[in-house]
Amino acid sequence: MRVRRDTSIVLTIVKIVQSLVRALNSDGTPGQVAAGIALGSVFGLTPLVSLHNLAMLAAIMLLNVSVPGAILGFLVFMPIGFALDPLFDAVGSGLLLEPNALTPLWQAIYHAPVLSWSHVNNTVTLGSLVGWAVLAWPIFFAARWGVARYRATIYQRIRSWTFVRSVQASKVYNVYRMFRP
Amino acid sequence: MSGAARWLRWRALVPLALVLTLVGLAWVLLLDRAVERGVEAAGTAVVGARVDLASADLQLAEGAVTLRGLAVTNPDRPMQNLLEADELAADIAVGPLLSQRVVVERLSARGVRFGTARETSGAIDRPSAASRALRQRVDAWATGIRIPALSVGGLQSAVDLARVAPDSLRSLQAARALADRAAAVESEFSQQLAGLDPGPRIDSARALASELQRANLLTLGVGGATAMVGRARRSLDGLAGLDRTLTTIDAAMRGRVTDLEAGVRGLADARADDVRWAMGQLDLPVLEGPEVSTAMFGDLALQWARPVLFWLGVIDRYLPPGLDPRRLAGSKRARREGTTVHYPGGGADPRFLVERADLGLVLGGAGVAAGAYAAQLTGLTTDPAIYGQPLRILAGRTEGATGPAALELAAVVDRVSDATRDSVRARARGVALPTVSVGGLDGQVALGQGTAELEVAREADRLDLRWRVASPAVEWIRSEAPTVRPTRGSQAWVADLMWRAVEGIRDVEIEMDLVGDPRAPSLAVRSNVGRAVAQSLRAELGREVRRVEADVRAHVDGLVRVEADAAEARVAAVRDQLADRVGVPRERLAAAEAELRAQLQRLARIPGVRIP
Repeated sequence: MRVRRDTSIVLTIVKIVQSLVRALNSDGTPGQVAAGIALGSVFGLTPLVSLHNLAMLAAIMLLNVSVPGAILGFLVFMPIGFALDPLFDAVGSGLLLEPNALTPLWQAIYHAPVLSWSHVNNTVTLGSLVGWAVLAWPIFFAARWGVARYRATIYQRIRSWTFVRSVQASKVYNVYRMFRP
Repeated sequence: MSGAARWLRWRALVPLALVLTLVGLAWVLLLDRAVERGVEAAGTAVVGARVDLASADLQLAEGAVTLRGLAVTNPDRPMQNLLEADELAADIAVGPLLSQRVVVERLSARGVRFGTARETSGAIDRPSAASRALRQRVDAWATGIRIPALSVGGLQSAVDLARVAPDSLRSLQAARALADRAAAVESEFSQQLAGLDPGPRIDSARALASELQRANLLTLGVGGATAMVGRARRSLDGLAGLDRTLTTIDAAMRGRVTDLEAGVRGLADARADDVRWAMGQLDLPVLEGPEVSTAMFGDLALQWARPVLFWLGVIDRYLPPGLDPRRLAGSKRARREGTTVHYPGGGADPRFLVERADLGLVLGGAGVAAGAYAAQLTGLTTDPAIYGQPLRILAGRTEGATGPAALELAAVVDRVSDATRDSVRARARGVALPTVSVGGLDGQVALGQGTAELEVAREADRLDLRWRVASPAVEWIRSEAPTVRPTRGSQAWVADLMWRAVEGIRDVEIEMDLVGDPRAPSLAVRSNVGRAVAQSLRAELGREVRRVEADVRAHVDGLVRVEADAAEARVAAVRDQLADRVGVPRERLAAAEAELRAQLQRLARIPGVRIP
């Protein structure tokens, strides 16, 4: 059991590294990669099985943003989402449990067909969604700066590595290019 | 490149459609499993024990759901199912599902059985917070119920009166408090009378009255007489003012004295309470029927009462009146559950509603209660205020295996308005009653087949619940008969005495009442067995108990008497002072005023004298 858990952790780390490499080394602009990370972070910060995440998945596929960036955003912000759950719960409680100017909005969403499945009447779901909305722009700007700095410095050195070249030549990489910005 | 072309990835449309199709396909394939999990999770959260479902089959197009193999664990007995149903078929309204509402138009259940054994425990490690809190509340209530022990040990040993500490006596504290209050009243009284010495003013008025009596118009003249009348009038005004002041003080102080006198009377009650309390401290036996019944069947009553209070709590939580937002724990997931807020109203359907359910119940076995029963339920909803109709349950027997057994159940749970009004009347005849242990008795009683009745009336925050069990042919099962005659007063002697009192009783009735606040009602137990045992105990032990009671009473009186006498004396002193310093002056004042007024009237009859 322990071996299986350790293997799972190692695989997760490998996936994060893969996504990191793919996102940072893609042909997309730093803005596209950063937008992918910012949009993908919603999967990590908010409860995954939600209606808004399905809409966000469609947005990421349709918009000209980096898909590996979105995957990276998801993987990086997933543990952060778990860690911030108490804060999200508090934010959601403040918005939902105390009557305020937004209460009619929550009630309208709660009673609306389809929208009621968004579960924004849950304190953690609403709090995390609000948290993501607040953090999305800072994540975008920070990611754009980071990607630009990375490409100007580290990437120039590793692009000639055999491993990187072999990955870029593989068939899997060709499939991935379909979604590359 | 145009703006849209720059921002949109048109070539991803096909993969997106593919992904959405896959999501839709997965949803359809997993929907049955989701319903199964949903029923299990929701049921488990409500019951506080495992709810298992073998399979679920949802036909959205037809608006039909079939649940098979439902097993609801009894939270009080994890190895037993509260109920088990072979199949539940429901017609549901599809439209409300879009808004997360489950409206069951008709539900029919087949093969419903109660109390079936489970192969594995249905206990859960982490019950929902609401279920846990409810269980803790019921446990705390049960722990707080005092079941007296049927022990007569206190009668045999020398009664250790030193265990009755003076500081624990309520009457002693009350006497001290009363003395302090009397002293405070006395002090206040003295302050009010300070500077108000009525004696000289009354004496002055009386002297003036004498002067008026002696007055002669010839010596005084008309002017002198008029001046004297003016003095008399002013004196009368002064007396009236003094009278008002004394009346005010008298009224106020009389009220205080009345309170103090009530305190003196209360000392007697407090002393009687102290005697009872001291008897309890000394573990002396109670010989009254209700107490003996509670001692014998109290544990059994608690066993019955706990699930009743638990399920009343569940109904209160999940079928609340009114339209206030409901706060429930979020669904279980890897992330924090949080709190989910439900907003009833808004013209929408109730969150959960079963408009009508027809249940086929089966009681197995070969007993007279075995057979088929039918129950009908209407208006089960989480939002009664929206639905506008109370929950009604009717059940009766449709087909018996043997014998004349009957089951009648009529229940109304009315949470439509803010005022809760619930009523339940249930009667089952020919049911197999359990074999139960009896407190103090070295054995058990097999209640056999008998009648069980339940009556519940709930009005707002008051609960009146009566549970009655009667059996015409019980069997008393003694664990072990004593080989030698037990020592008088020993526990074995009590058990033997009880045994002799009960062994001839075949017709047994046990009644349990839960009355008061539904969250923590008072418990009362009555039984003809308790009355019989009490009678036997009184016959054997009455004289000893009366002797000890007299000793305890004398001891308590001795501890309290000095303080109580002092308090009474202080109250009497205040009462006497009120009479001496207010009552007597008021009488003198009234006499002086009458005298002065009479003389004034006499002078007024003299021609030429003008009374101002």
